[in-house]
Amino acid sequence: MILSGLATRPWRTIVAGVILAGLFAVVPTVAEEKLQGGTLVFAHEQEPGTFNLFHPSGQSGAVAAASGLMQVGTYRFPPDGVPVPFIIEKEAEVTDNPFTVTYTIRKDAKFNDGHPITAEDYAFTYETIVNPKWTIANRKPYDLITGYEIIDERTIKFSFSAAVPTYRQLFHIVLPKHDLEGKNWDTAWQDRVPVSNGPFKMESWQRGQQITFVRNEHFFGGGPHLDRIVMRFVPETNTLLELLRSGEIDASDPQPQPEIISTAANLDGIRIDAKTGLLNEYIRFNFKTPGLDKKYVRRAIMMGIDRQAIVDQLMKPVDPNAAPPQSWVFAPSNPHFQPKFESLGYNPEGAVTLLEDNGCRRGADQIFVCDGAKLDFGFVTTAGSERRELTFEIVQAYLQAIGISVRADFSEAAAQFGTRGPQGQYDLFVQGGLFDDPISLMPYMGCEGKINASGYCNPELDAVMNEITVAAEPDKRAELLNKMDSILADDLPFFPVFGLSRMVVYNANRVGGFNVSPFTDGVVSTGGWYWNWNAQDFYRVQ
Amino acid sequence: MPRLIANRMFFSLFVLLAATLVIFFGISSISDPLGELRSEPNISPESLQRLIDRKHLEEPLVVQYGYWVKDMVTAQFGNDLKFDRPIWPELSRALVNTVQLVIFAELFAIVLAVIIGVMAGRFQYSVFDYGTTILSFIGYSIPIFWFALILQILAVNFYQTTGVRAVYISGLSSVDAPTGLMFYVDRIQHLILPILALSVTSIAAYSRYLRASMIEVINADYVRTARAKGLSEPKVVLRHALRNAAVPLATVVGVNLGTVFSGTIIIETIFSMPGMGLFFFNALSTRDVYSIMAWLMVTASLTMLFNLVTDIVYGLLDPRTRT
Repeated sequence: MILSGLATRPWRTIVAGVILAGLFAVVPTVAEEKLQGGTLVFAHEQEPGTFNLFHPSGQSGAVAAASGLMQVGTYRFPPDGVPVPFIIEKEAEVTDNPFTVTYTIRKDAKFNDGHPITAEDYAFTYETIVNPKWTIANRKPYDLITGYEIIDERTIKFSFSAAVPTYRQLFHIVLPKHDLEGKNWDTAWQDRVPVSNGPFKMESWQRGQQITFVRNEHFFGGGPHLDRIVMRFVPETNTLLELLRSGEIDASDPQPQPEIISTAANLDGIRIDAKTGLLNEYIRFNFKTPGLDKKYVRRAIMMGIDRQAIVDQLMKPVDPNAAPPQSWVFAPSNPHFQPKFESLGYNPEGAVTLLEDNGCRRGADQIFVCDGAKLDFGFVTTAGSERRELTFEIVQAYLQAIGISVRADFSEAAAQFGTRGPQGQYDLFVQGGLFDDPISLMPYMGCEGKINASGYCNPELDAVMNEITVAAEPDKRAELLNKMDSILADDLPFFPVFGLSRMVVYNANRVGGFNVSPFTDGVVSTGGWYWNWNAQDFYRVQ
Repeated sequence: MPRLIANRMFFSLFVLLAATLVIFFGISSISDPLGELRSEPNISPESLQRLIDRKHLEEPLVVQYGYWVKDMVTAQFGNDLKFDRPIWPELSRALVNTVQLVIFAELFAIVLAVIIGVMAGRFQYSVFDYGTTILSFIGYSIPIFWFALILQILAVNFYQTTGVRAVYISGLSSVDAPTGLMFYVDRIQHLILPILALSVTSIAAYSRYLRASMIEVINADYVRTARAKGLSEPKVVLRHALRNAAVPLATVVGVNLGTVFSGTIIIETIFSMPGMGLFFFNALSTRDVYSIMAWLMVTASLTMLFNLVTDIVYGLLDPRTRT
C-alpha cells in the first residue's frame, strides 16, 4: 500500500548523523521579514511517474506531493481535521432518500488559464472517472452516482444509489473540461498538466532533476506569496540535511527516522514541523500460526509491550505531543474518540497471569508453551528500515520478559509487501497504515478481503463495516465506527504500536509558512498533500 | 584483430542470451510484480486485471519470457509496469549521464594512477612510494558511501566558511542552470564530488597494479638495453617501461569498469544524479521489475562491451594476443 514506502535504506543515517553535529560553521540568524515573491526549492525523496491522480500509478506520495501544489479539491483538510469547503462556496447540501449531494461552486473559482470552474467541470470529472475506457485505480464511490443535474453554471446535484458518508472526500480534484475533452485521459497528464486550479501551475519538468511550478495568477484561494516552487528529487536523507545546510534546498519532507530528526533538530536555523494523525505503525497477527490463533496470546503480546516507551523513544523527538494510539478511527481531539485499546495497556504481570490462567506453562528456556505451541514467533519487518529494526529490538526485549520469544525475520520491502504479506508468510507483521474507514480496512480484515491472508474472519465485523459504508448521518456513523473499533480491539487481529508523524524540515532562515496537516493523507491525499495543502501560504524570509 | 573482434562478438550473443534467462527467471522468482499494487486498497481488481493483461502475467513464465524478449528486441524493452511509460527513453537518458560520470571518473583515475604508479615503481622504497602505498590502502578500503558523505560535509563547510560555492553536492545542474560556457562550468561543479568519490577506489587499485608492473619491467633486460643505448630516463620510463607495464593495467581497467558502474548506484543516489544508478534505485523503490530487468540487461551488455574493449586494447598493447 501507499505506506509501505516508509521503509528506508540502512546506510542513509549511519555516518553523517554522527559527524554532522561537530562540523557546523556560521549560519545567519533567523530574520522575521516575510517577503513577497521568490523561489522555494523543495526536495522530495522520489520523482513522480505521472500526474494522472486517478491512474493506478498515480497512487503515490510523490504524485500527491507534486500535484498538491497545482490542484485543490472541493474541500480541504487542515490540521484540526475539520473539512473546509474550498472550491465550493458553502457546505455541500446533502439529502437522504435518495442520497444526493449538491455543490455550489464559488464565484471566483478559476483554472490557471482564467477559465471559471463550472458545474460542467464537475460533471466531466465524474464522467471521466466512470468511463470504462480509461484506466482508473478505483471508481468507488463514484460508481454509486446514478445521475447528476446541472442546476446552473455553478450548481450541480449528484444522486447516489446509496449513502456516501465520505462525500466530502469526493471531487478532491476537478478536471478542466475545456482542456481535456476529447483527449486520451490515460496519457493526458502523464507528462504535464497544462490546466489546473491550485496556487501554482506546472512550468517545466526536467526528468530526474526537478519540476518547476510557477505562481497561478488566477488562484482564488489567496496568495500565493511565492513566485515559484522548484521540486528537486533527493533520495538520500543525509544529502537532504547537507543540502539544507548549504542552502541548495529550502525544505524537504523526509521520513521521520529518529537519527535524522535528532540531527536536523541540532542544525541552526533548521525547523521541524511534525504532527501525528491516524496513520499508525502496527503489528498484525497471523491466525494460522499455532499460538497466535488464541485471543489470550494476542492480548498478552499487546499487554507485554510498553507502547509509551516506544513512542517516547521513536516519535517524541519528532512530535512532542505523540502518544500511543488508543483508537483506529478517531484522534483524541475528535469528540467521538473512545480509547478502545486503553484496557490493553502495558501490564507485564497481567500478561503473564493471562497466559498462566489459560494453561500455558514455561519451558526450560522460560518461554511459554500453550496447548503444545511454543510462543516463539518470527517478526517480519522491513530490512534496512532503521525505525522498524529498532521497533523489533524494543518489542523483542519486552516480550522476552514475559516469556514470549520473537525472532528477526526481516525482508526487503519488495518481498515483504509484494509476497510475504499478501501470501500470509509471517507470524507477526509490521507495517504502516491508516484504518479510519472500512474502505481501507476491508481488504485486510474482511472475511473476503482481497489481501487478507491472515486467516482472520469475523462476520460481525464485516456486517458493521458494510453498515458504515452506507451510514451518512454523522453520529450514527461515528457510533458504528466505534463499534468497529471495539470489535478490532477485542479480536485483536492487529494493534497500533505508535502513530507515524508527518513532517516537514525547513530552513527558517530562508522560508516559512509550513503547517503540516496529518489529515490531508490517505484517501484524500490527492487534493493536497500533508505539507502542501496550504502552499499558497509559503513564503521566503529575508 | 578483426577476427578477434568478430569471435568475441559471436560468443557475446550466447552470453547475452544466458543473461536474459538468468535475469528474467531470477527476477520473476523473487516476487510478484503486482504484489505492492495488490495490497493497495485504492486499486480496484479491474485495474489490476488490466495490468495483468498488458504484461501477460497470467501466462506461464516461459511465455512471459518470450513476450519480454520480444519487447526487448522489437520495442526497446517496452513499457514499464506501473506508469505504462516507454522504458528506453528514460534508461538511455540515464545511461548518457552515467557514461559521462564513469568516463570522467575513470580518466581521472587512470591519469592519477599512472602518475602515482610510475613514480612509485621508479622510486621504489622512497618516501613517495611509502606515502602513496599507505594512501592506496586507505583508498582501497574506504567505504565509498562514507567517503561521498564526507566529501559533501567538507564541501558544505567550505561554502559556509568562505561563502564560495566551489562545488555542488547534488544533481547534475543548478536550479537555474546557466547557458553557454557557464553551463559547462556549472556541470563540472556538479560532477567534481561524484567523480572524486567514484574514482578513489580505482585510483588506489590501478596505482598498485602499475607500481608492481613497473617494478617488474624497470629491471628487465630491454629496459637496461634502452638505458645502455643512451636514451634519456623519461624516454626509458615512458616509452619502454610504461608501455609494457600498462598491459596488465588495461585488463584491470576493463574488468573494473563493471565495478565502477555498480558503484554508481550508491554515488548517484547520494549525489541525486539522474543516471543509471538512480534509475535502478527508483525502479527498485517502485518495485518495477520491467525497468529493473532492462537495467540489468543494459549493464550486462556494457560489461561485455568493456571486456571486448579490453581485449582490443590488450591486443594493441601486446601484439602476441592478436591472433
